[in-house]
Amino acid sequence: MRESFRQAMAWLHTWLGLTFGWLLFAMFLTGTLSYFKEEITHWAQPEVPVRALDTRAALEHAQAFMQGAASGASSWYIMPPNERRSGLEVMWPAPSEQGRAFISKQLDPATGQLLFVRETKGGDFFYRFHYELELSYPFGRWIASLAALAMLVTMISGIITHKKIFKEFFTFRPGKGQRSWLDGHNAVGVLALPFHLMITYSGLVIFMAMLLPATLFTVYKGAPAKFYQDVFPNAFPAPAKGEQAPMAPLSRIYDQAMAQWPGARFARVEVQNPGDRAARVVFYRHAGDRIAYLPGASLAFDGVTGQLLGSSGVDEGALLVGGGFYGLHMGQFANTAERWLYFIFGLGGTAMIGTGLVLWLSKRQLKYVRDPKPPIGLRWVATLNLASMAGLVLAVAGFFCANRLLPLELAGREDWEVQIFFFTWLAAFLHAALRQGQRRGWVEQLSLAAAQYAALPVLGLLFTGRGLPRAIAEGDWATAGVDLCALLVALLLAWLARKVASRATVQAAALRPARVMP
Amino acid sequence: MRMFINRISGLDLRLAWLIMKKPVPVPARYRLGVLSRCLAASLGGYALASAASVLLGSLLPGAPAQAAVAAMMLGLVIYAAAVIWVFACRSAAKAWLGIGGCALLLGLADLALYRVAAV
Repeated sequence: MRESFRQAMAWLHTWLGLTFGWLLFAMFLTGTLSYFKEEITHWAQPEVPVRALDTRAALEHAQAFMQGAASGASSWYIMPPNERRSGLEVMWPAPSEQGRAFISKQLDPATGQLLFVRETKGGDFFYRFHYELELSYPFGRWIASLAALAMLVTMISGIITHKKIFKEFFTFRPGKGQRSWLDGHNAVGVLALPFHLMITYSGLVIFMAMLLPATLFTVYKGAPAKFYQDVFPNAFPAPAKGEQAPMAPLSRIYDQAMAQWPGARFARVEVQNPGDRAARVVFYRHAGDRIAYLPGASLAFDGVTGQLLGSSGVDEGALLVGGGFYGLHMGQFANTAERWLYFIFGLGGTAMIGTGLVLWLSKRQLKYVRDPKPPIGLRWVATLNLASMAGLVLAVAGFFCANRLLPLELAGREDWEVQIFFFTWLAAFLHAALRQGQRRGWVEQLSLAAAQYAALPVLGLLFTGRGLPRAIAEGDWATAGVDLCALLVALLLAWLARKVASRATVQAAALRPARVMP
Repeated sequence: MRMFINRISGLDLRLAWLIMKKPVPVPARYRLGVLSRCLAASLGGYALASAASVLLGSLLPGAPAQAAVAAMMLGLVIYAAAVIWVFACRSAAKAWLGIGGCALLLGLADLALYRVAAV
């Protein structure tokens, strides 16, 4: 290979990595948390009871509730409980004057009673942030996709740069400053390289129709909406007839759906035109029933007679390959062990980005060890490194604490949680700028974050009816798991803070005699 | 090697700057070159990927949904490859020529095929 080509790729890896590294770190960390989206949501809503799973009964209760609460709605959406979701969620379009798209309620799946559940985005916040960045459609998704493309190119150029990739993988020189960061960066990068490539490319595949709209436009001769009719035929309801007709019980339709697809789980039951003669019920298959996600995999039934109208889901060719990438990215199929593997690999990807950012800086800071005022560019990178890494970890802690501490009756409570996340992050940035990204700043932010994570189980014990001891006793491992992880993270952050602090004193001691010399 | 330093000399200039601890001014020409490559990679690369994806979508066999999905998935790979190529090129001008030329040719082919299909 031409040496100059490799150097050009090293340049690209360095600068593209630096430019997008901060954003990618946030996308990877929140995306990694999203593998436990349901568990975090469950932890965040301690009011939702854990019941024995009975989808049939849950659907009966949901139908009874909706017939009372949403009889005039154009459609109902019922999300039955499953192994990872204990609540029964129902949704329907909000009347236009309410200013939001849907009304959403949580029911007790065993009794059908309306539950009072604290308003929170829970795990959904991290999930949506990791690809929308809390920006309006489509800007957030475009920026996130651009970052994903940069990630893909950075990884390819990184692979080209490291010609001795496997030899370097087995090289680790700890305690050697910049060298150790390089070795660590190579190790986490190579260890899960197939995962990193898959997760980045599949992230782009998920948004490909948004990213390359011209393709659908031309293939479908100027009517790209037809693509969605081809792939999701059951998502387009026929117009209502305007004639009232009693609905078939959803539990009976569920039995038929199970006879059609034995052992299937259903993520969503959609009732189109409820109470009308043209009513239609669509059972959407849970994406976790297999690895490759099948777009639009569903069974449609006549809502009045309960007769099967048809099934959809194209299980071949490019749609299967695309669905495979989609399914691999989402990891819905994963059992507990596989889910932890996803989580660990995701953390590995986050660490790969983080070590890269630190490496960029430490390599250049070497020249300025004795300089009290390094160039402004380096100080900015140091500030952004601190704010984007330790600051984000702190902001996540802030979000979790807000979930436990905000008054339950607070109006717009779930928006407050999000605002606290961003205010914490902003404060961390200002603090990082004040400390110019130096070790002292790292120690302070990591220590504060450690204290916050350690406080989470205590707050749960004090302010919810489902503290850690009770969750363990009841075998509620989602709640217990989040609390236990918070403790583990607290220990890890405290250890990191100590380590950075000890390095800082060593460095200060090394600097002192240099100052007095002429 | 010397040619390379003239081409992508940011790294080397910066190293010199780090060693000498005196800011070596990065020539405006170099900065413009980097900016030009960034634009060629992001905008030019996008145009190329989109045009290629459109062409593949109309040429690939099978149901329209299948052809479109395959074409879009390949389009993303082409985008990444185009970005790599822009930065591996000898000069920004050559990168623009390559990316722009390919995008133009593909775009013309797209237009011709679309016309034929519309008739």
